[in-house]
Amino acid sequence: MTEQPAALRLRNLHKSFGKKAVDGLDLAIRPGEFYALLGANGAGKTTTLRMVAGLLQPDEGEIFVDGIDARNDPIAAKRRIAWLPDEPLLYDKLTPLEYLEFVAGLWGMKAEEAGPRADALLRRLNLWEQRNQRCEGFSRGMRQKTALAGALIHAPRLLMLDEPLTGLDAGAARQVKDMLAEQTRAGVAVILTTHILEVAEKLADRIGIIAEGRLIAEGDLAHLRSLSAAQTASLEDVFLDLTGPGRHSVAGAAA
Amino acid sequence: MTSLSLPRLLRHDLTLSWRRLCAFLRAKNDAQGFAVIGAVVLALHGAGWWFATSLTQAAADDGRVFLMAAGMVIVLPWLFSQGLTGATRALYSRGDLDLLLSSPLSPRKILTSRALAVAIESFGAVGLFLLPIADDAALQDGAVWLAIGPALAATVLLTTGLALAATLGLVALLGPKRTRSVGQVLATLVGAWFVILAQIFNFLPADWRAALHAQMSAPAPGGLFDPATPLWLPARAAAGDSFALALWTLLGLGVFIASIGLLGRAFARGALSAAGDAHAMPVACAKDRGFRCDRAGALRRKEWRLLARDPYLVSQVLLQSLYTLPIALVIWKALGGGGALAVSISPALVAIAAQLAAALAFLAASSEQASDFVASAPVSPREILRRKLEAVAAPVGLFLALPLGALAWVDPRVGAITLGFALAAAASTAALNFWKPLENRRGDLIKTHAQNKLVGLVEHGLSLCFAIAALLACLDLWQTILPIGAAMGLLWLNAPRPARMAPRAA
Repeated sequence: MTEQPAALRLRNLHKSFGKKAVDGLDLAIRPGEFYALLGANGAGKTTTLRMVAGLLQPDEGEIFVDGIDARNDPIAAKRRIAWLPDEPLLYDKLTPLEYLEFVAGLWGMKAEEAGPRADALLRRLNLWEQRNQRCEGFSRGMRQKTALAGALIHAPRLLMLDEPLTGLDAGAARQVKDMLAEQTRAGVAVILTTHILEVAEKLADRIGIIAEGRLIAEGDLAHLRSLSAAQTASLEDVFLDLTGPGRHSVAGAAA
Repeated sequence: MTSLSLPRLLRHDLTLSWRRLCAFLRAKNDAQGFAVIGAVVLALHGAGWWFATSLTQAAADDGRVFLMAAGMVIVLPWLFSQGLTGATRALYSRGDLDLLLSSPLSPRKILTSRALAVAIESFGAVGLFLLPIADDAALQDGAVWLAIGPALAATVLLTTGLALAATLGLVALLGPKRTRSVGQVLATLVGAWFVILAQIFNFLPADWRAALHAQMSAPAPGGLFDPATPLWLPARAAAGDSFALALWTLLGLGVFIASIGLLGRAFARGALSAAGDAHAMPVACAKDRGFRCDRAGALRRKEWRLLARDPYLVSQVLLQSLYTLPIALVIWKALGGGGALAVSISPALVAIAAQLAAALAFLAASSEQASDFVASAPVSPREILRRKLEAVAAPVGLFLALPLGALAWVDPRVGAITLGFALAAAASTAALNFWKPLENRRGDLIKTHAQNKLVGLVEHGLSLCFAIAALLACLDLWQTILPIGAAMGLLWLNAPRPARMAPRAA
């Protein structure tokens, strides 16, 4: 039996904007795994996700999505990816239904498959009543949910979310978290960046901590705690302990 | 504790206006802004000297009042358009207005300050061009020409008051959502009127002009051209008639004060309903129907929907066509009129095709609202570009189909030549906008040329080259190849060279 390829594999990824933003990053995420990528502002999280999404060219290194070399065959890799940035990328003058139709068209879905899937997503995210209203008057939360529906409509194998819970009320945040959990159960790999460490603590199978473009620690919460001074510490304590001044040399700590 | 005084509030509003102007002029600080404005004023005084000479000459021949009347016909709609734009902005500039309306300031005080700021902006915008000429004319022909300044100020007060009333009337009539679009479109149309009017007298047939001149030389008492009638009050005021100037100033002040006095509460209601509209759920605008998922169609449909749902942008784009019409009239006159109509329309249609394609290409290429999202889709950049070009070509073709068809029916040869050059011109200006995209919001369409003057110049150069080439080709002249060569050269100079992906900070 052949082993299933990693949903995402990064090898020795480098990117510099004058100053190094990503510095030799290695990462592997299994299908169906929920991976939280944590780091302070400017640590290189968004740059990493943008490189995987094909929006930035790495200076060096390899990106494999579902076994496909994303640098050699970006179109095939993009077919398997959904990327949801922190600022929802919507068209103000389109309705959610039209937006989903556009996304389904871009990803080359069949109409008979896309239509029912769009309906189901809009109902699930409580956007059904607003499906024919233009996005220009939507609240931040509704925009975020519409963008999430767009990310999920083409059934990606790798779902990348940059701060997906920002601006959502408690109910909507719960809906999104439930949907993400469902996705991982269905075999979709989810990589999420967040500053809400409680979300990572509760949802993630593994947590990666990135600082100055390098992965300084990786593993489940218990493993990360073992790297920190306090064994019963919260993820916040562990994160602050590992990313604090002068503590970036724990690279070997990745499990 | 007393709330902010009117002068301080006005100072705040004028500071915002000044900062907008500095941003438009790309001045990094106030000193640079003043330096640029100062240089422009000086340059206009220099450039206006010969114009002032011909004005004073014309005034001696025809009478200053008639000259001022012609000027007022142009300036009044211009100022009213400025007032409409300012009043719409005053109602919809959310962040600032929310702060003011949530403060203990009275709505009337806010409206007074906003209205004065709009009036001062309008005076500045129009006065910048008119007052240097008036100064030059005064130096050449006497101080009476300086009456243009106070007459302009009174006109500004009158038109600002009327524009405020019109805008708030639209809010009451159409609701805040539609008022924004309708107000902006109306302002642009009224503004365009002055461009057409500025040219119209020159384009009238010679016998019409002679008849008009005869009526003005010996006007019937109490008739349309009798300067003694109240209709001529602004012209007499600008011509230096002290009594008329006093009356006109009183009228302007009266309308301005009355509009503020009567509309203070309506302004607050309008602003609040406009604010509510920004947060309200938009009305349904589409019906459930089956999904259509072909990739090419998805990309094209998205562009068409975004265009169709932005009436302000569509009006801006179509207005460019309106501005092109005088070209046809100039050529028609130059060719002696009569049967040369088809030939004279040809270059105008070519220029319209070029301008329309450029504007739509900017909207499709530079103001992509979700460019990162589209870039993350499994579609090659080449396909995205191709579909966007198709999306742009369709409305341009649709808009030009009727006049091109009519032209081909009148003169098939001219029609075929025009079609060929219109296609070439549209493709070239569209390509230029795809090659040199500007990161702009869709609403910034009219600012694009100010932001990238080189692209603007090349775009106009291409329009001009292809329009001239079409004209020469219609006239069967070998020199046609010269403007075609120039256009090709411009395109070659601006064609994309191997480029790397723009870096973006994490």
